[in-house]
Amino acid sequence: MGKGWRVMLVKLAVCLWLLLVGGQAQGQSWPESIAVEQDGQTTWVSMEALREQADVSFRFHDPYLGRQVDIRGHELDSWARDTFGDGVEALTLTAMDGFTVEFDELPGTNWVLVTHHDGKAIGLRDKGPLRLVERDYGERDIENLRLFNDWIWMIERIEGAP
Amino acid sequence: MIRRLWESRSGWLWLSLASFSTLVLLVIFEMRLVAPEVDRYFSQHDNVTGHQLATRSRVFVHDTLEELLKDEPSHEAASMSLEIAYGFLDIEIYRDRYACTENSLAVLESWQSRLMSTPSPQVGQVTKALLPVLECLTDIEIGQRVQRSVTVNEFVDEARNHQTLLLIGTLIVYLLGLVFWWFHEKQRRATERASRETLEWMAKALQDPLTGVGNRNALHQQIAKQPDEMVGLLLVDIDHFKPYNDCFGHPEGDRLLRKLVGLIELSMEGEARLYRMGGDEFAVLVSCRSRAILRKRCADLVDAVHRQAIEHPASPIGAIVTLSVGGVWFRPADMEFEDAYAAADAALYRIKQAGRDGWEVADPPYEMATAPVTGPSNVDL
Repeated sequence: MGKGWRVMLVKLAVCLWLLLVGGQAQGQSWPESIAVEQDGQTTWVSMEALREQADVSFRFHDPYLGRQVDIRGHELDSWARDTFGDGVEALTLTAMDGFTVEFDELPGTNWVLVTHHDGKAIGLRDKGPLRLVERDYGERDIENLRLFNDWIWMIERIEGAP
Repeated sequence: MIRRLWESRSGWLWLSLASFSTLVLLVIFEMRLVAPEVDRYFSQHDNVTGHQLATRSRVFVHDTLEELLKDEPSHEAASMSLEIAYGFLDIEIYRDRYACTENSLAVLESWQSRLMSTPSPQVGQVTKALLPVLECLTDIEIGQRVQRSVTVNEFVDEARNHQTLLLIGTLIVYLLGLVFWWFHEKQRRATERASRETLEWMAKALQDPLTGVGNRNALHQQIAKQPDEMVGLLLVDIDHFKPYNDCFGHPEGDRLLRKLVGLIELSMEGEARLYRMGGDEFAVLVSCRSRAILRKRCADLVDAVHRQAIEHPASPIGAIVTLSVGGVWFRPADMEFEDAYAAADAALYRIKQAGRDGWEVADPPYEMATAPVTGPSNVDL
């Protein structure tokens, strides 16, 4: 085996190692379930289930990513009705860093819980694993991200109340 | 269009109301749309989203280091913190504006993976590797603060301009509303004036200009207004008025006419309406509930003129002014005015034939005893 082959094999090994490590990292998406609270009781819904049941898709310009993204997820409104029942009105979504978004009434079809970007499940680094966005954000200035502060990600708890 | 508006009675009023409604809409627009937008922009200082994404990323980088500095560090927790830090730093605006972002993201990605691999890296290595990331985050924070200051200044300028425009717009709309209202008010007054003038002309058309009492037309109108009321109609003639005029002149004759009008009104105690039928002939219309009352009115009137003893040297029947009065008591609904007038005139004629200076009320044309009493009470005999 010549020197050139050995160098090539070493490079290949390094690439494989990086791919393995990188692949592992890309697949990480803590938390793997979110807490669903109602009437003081907490249940857990796995992210896997949420990803599988995601039934809403659309394409829009993501101001955080600065590009067009194919979104897949759940309409928050219908997800809340399915999860908490028709009596639910108020919702509180809490992220891992403690930020909460509150809805005094169900938000209609515009707010979407996102599980996938461009067909791939999103992890923490992709602003996942569960993210809240608005399907239509009107004429808001996409250069001013403060106008999108309610678009929280890494959601870990959703509370429903009448 | 202006002319059409001017001619339209309510056009200016509607324009004025539209202006004031616009004013209200402007205020609502300001309160409901603009003010919340300002609040949304400036009211996020105290919560976590009031922080920059770079600051939030820094928090998780610090969390990573703190975790690694523990006696028994959880590399999984440290890796997760780096993952979250990556998510907060991976913002397109940061990539565009700050060159260090791409490198920092690469570092975060690399070390996040290495933390999960074995053997685990040393804290010193991680700290050293993450320092450039922290410096980059500092640069981003400073840059974003500067950017935010610029944005806030622009926002404030824009808000100031918006307020100025709104103020000017509000003032213009308000002034327009006032102008339209003024036009409306002017038009309303003009209409009122025209109506008043019309009424005045109508009144003048029914008035005798010399004495100020009504004329023949006014008498007809008054009769038509009270068809069911029992009334007395007196025709009053000044005896030998032409010799009076010849003796004292027409100006004095006119004064006598005016004086007699006052005397007749006084005698009727203000309850009668007077009409000048022409020359020296007057008609008196008085509400009364019986023929006897009317007769007393006639007697009182003739006596009142006697008592005044107005000098009339040219009169062939005495030295003072006297009256001849013919009357009739009737209800307009039951008797045509022409017939009543003719009856009163016939009575007057008989008085004149009898030598003047007297009165007569014509016999009732129908059975007055059964006639209902509908008019106001006069002197009760």
